Amino acid sequence: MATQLSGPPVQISAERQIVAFSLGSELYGVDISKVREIIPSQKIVRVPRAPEFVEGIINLRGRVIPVLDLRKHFGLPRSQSAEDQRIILVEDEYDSIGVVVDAVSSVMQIPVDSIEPPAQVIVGPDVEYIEGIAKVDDDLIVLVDLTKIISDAEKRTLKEAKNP
Amino acid sequence: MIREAEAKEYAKDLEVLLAETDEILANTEQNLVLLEKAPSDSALLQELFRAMHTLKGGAATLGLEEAVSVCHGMETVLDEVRTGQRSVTSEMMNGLFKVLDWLKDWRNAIGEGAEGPPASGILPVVEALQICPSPSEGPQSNVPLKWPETCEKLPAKGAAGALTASLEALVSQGNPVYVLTVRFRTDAPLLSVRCFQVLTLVEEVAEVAGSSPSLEDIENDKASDALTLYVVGEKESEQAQRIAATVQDVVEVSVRRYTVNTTIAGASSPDKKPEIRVEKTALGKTVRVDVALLDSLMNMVGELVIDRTRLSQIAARLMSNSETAAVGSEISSLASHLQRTSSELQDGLMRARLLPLKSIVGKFPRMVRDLSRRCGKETVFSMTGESTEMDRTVLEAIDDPLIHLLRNAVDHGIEMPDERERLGKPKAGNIRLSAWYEDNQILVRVEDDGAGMDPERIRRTAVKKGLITEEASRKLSEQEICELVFLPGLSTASETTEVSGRGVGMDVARQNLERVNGRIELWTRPGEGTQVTLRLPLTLSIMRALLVKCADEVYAIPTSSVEEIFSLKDQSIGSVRGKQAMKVRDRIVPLVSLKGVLSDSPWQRDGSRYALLTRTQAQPVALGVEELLGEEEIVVKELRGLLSRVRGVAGATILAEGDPAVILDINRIL
Amino acid sequence: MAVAKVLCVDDALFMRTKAARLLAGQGYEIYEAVNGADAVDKYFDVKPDVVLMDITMPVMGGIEAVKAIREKDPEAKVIMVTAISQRSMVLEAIRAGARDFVIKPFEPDKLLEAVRKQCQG
Repeated sequence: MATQLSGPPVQISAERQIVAFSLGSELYGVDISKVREIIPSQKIVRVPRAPEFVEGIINLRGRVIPVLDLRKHFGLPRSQSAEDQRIILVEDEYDSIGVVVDAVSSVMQIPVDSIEPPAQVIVGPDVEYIEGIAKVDDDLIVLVDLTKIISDAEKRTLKEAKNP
Repeated sequence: MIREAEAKEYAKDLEVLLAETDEILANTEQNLVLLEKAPSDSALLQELFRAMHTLKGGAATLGLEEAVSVCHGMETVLDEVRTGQRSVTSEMMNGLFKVLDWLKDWRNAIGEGAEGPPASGILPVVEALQICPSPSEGPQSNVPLKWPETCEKLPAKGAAGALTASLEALVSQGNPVYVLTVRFRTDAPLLSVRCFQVLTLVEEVAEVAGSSPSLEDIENDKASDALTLYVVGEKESEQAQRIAATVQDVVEVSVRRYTVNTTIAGASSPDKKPEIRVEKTALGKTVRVDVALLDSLMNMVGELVIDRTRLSQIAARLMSNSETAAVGSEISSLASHLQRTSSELQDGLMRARLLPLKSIVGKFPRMVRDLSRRCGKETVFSMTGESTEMDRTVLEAIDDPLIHLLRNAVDHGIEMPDERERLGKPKAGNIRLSAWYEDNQILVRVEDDGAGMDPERIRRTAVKKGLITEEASRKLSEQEICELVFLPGLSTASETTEVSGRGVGMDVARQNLERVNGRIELWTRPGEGTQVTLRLPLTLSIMRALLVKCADEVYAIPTSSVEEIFSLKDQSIGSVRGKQAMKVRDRIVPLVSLKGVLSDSPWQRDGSRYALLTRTQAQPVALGVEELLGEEEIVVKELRGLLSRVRGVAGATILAEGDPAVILDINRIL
Repeated sequence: MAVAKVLCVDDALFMRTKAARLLAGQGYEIYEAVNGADAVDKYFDVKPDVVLMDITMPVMGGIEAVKAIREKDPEAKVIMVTAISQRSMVLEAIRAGARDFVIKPFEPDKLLEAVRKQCQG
């Protein structure tokens, strides 16, 4: 997937490839290198007593993997599962983890200079997961680091399990 | 009471008979396929004959008359072929296969406790078989050769008149001759053999001067319910009478002194007859074990593990007190020994669950043969590594996929004979099923030397069905394109032919394998053939679990943690200090609903219809569930990362329909 | 009185179990063999009082086995268990020294009677 470079690595790309998805009315983006696969929505089975942002588990070709609902993470209202719903699979330490999103719009090329650092735009508890805000046409796309969200969540649950 | 005992006995007998019937039918099927290729293989014919004979005997013992008559017909035909009176024709082969199919249906019906199909449906085929003409083409004579009778005709030693003469001579020489009249039950089977038995036994103690019917007649099955022996000597005749009276089916033996007139003939002379040789059967040092027994052993091991946990807890308690620390540590070391033993036991039992691939592939040769015929193709099917062993669950999971792969090989893989000739390939296509161990995996491969897959056609179909975009498809290698067949929804147009149609596609095959942690790999080259390899795990983590439904989700609860299941009726539910409880025999057991437990309000009343009496470590609890879906063997999938530490969740499994389900750890969820 | 030993010889598990269960219920000590060769081995191992012998079996048939047993032990008491269609075979077996026969499917009483008689005689 990644382009092999033969020449010196200078200014080969002033663009980032982003998978853009929507959650409710907001647009988010995740770097394409972190995305393993995008699959259509499928039956998600609830896991009792799992951390709140874990939507449940799915059968991914014989593997049982957890699926997260970022809305809870971002404090967005729960939406009814729509037809466009997709599951973005990203890698974590163990296997894959799914993230439910309302729709995947497309893969975009975003010029690096149109991305602004987050601190200037918003402040909040989630700021550390936000890589930046990109302005594309009239839309604002929040670039998030899904891997970091997930690994932090894992660490937190492990800690909670140790000290209940 | 007696009826009940009889019914029980019958059920036991039936169980043994069914197991044996399965084996016999599977072997017979394989042997018939072989027979078609080697129609004069006498060992094979003998084996086939013996199989039908055994089955007939078993069926007769349980009074399953329909099957008896069908087996008998088949046995007769096979016997005639075996003894050279008939030869095998393709018409006969088809008939034999039809009869076999009937027997299979019959077996299935009986196994389900139903009436077997009426024999009238198949008897015409059986009858047709019996008059099936020998092939008339060819130089050999059309007249059926009569094989020498198993019991050769003996030269009559002395005609009737000669006997009278010799008896009279004996009498005149002063030898008293006695007439021993033996009467048999009129309905006794094999009367002539009874006669022969009496004759033989009497000859051991006395000189028999003759008999009526004569020995020759007896040997030729001419006998009635009366036998007369002429015995020399008074004492001897008394002894003879005693001995004859002990023979089964004999109702009366009388003796009188010989005076005049009777006609007899006879003498005995051992004759040679062709010996029966049967192909050597390998008899492994194995025993049959009921899977249910293995499962119950497995559950008992589960209990051992629970006990061990309790022991460890007690040990810990004791060790925390300085006065009892010494005893505690002793118990603790005992507990860890118990742990080692029980896990070894568990391993051993898992191994006992292994079955050879043989147990499912027996039907394949016949299947490939039938398919090939229907498609007008010629195939040579071979199997290797059938003794490769794997877990029952794995075997069950690969059964359908293998059928599908073989169907594909015949239907789509192998070309028509003339096409193959044109391509310079042997007319008959090769299909091979092989299995072997590699590293810590089991590999099962189905390969053919047929046309291979056409990547371009698969690509176009996939694009047309919207499974992949035209653009994306262009970027894939041919190999990657061929692997698109594993996607749900892609089946090439010809897949729906009569042969391949069955609703099981490559995607389902893949799903089946994934359920048991297996993988499927594909290699294909146009013009050279296709090879599909199943990679299977050597060991699996399997447990028996109850599947229950609660708030629209299915949960698996390990059977080992459930003591008993009750159907909940309102009257059996009471309440103790405002909390629900139910009476189980003389105990009052708290009743909580699974739905409530999972939403952390265990005492909520809901529509639970069943209660599972759990085997928790401390006190039993009745767990109410809405619906019981049944008990199944499930493959345990570990949950890692985020979900590895969820209290009360022991893992997950994938249900037959493909949905995941959570396995609940009852002890920790309550 | 010592318990009488019976050797049941049949390649069909079903038949063996059936006979064994019946006889064991009457207090006989049961041994089993799965073919003629096995029967000959077990015979001289176990020295049973009575042998119940099937006729058509793989490896070595019943008649051959009767011959082999009787050759070394003329006192051996063998009861053939036979299908009604195997008339000439039973004749052959009796000629070879079998003492009695019962018809498959056997009636329990008949089989018990046959075994009892051989034990007495």
